[in-house]
Amino acid sequence: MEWTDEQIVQRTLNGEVDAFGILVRRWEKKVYGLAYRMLGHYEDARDTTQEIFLTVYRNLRKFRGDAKFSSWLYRIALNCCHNRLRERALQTVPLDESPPVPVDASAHSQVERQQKIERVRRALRALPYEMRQVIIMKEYEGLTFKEIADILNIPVSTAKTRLYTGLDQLRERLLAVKDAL
Amino acid sequence: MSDHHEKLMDYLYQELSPEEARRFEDHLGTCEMCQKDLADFRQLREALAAWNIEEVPHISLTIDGSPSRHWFALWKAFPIWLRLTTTAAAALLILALFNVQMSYRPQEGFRFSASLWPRAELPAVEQPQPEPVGLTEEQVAALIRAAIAQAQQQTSERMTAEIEALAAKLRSENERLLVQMADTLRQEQEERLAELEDQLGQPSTVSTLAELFWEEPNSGY
Ligand SMILES: [Zn+2]
Repeated sequence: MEWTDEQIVQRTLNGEVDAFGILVRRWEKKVYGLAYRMLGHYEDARDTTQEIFLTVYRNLRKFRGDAKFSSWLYRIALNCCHNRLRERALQTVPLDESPPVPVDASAHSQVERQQKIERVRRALRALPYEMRQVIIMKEYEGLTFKEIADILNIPVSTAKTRLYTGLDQLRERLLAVKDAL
Repeated sequence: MSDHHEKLMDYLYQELSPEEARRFEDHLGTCEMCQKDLADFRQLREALAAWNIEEVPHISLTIDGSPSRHWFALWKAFPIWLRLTTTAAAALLILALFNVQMSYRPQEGFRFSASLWPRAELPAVEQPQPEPVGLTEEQVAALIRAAIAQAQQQTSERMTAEIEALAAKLRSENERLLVQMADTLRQEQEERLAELEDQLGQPSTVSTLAELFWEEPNSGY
């Protein structure tokens, strides 16, 4: 039987340092996805993902078994993203940095795909932080409204309203652009 | 109005019970606003889905550049016999003078390594957890004091022999992490001894070392 996240946390705390590696492998893709979409910046996302796991590791003993590990992890992840954005707000960041593009795909569809992604990335980045995080958690992380509300410590109805408002704003940016093309 | 919005969100992401969904569909039939929203948002979701992330960059964790915070995690990784020997007390002192580094890589798992000189600054993370010390500050200080006294008694030759023996013992335990550390220790032994003498010449060593092992509990998360 596969260990639950909570069991792995316990094993790590009991001195099985390698057990933490399982948690990292299990969650790195989701955490990185969250960070990249929140920050819209490849290198920031990579650094922040490392920082998130370090923070988790160092605070593992503070994780209470009565909460879900994933909620706790997301909370830390969003905090780290928030801090990074705050730091970045004080600096000028090149917006255009993209991750390395694989060369094997045909150039044409690759370019098209990159353009699509770029539009989404910019549209999300332009959203207010509170709406962006709800959209990302719902659309890309596939969390329920209840889970989102737990993580953000807000009422479920607020989570839904934020999502609506976020989508409403995105519609103006993304669908308008799309029609114009 | 905003009740429409909430229900619409539930419907869009399939969080309604079959019955609630049916009731919302009844509403949809009569509400043009909701119809328009639903059509737009479905289109929007398709656009958002374009941004899928296939490649996750290599996440490498380097956990701490100083021996203090993760000393006890490291300590737990030692076999019990090593923890119980006086050699361990000496090893503890030696390692404290080094910059013990623990790193994590997906394929290799955790690695411990040590070097004599401080490494480049690593990103600081706020609010370190209170360590599960199990030893009081005085006990740690006493342990270190004993280790220093022991180290002072020993000649450089005897220290050499001891480290060789430790390395041999570790090898026989087939502990990859520890073998690596012992090898590093051996390699840098001469520098280490010079460093050790330096450190022992300074009366502030004990308290400095004690501080390394002892961290104030912090709050957060
Ligand atoms: Zn309606």
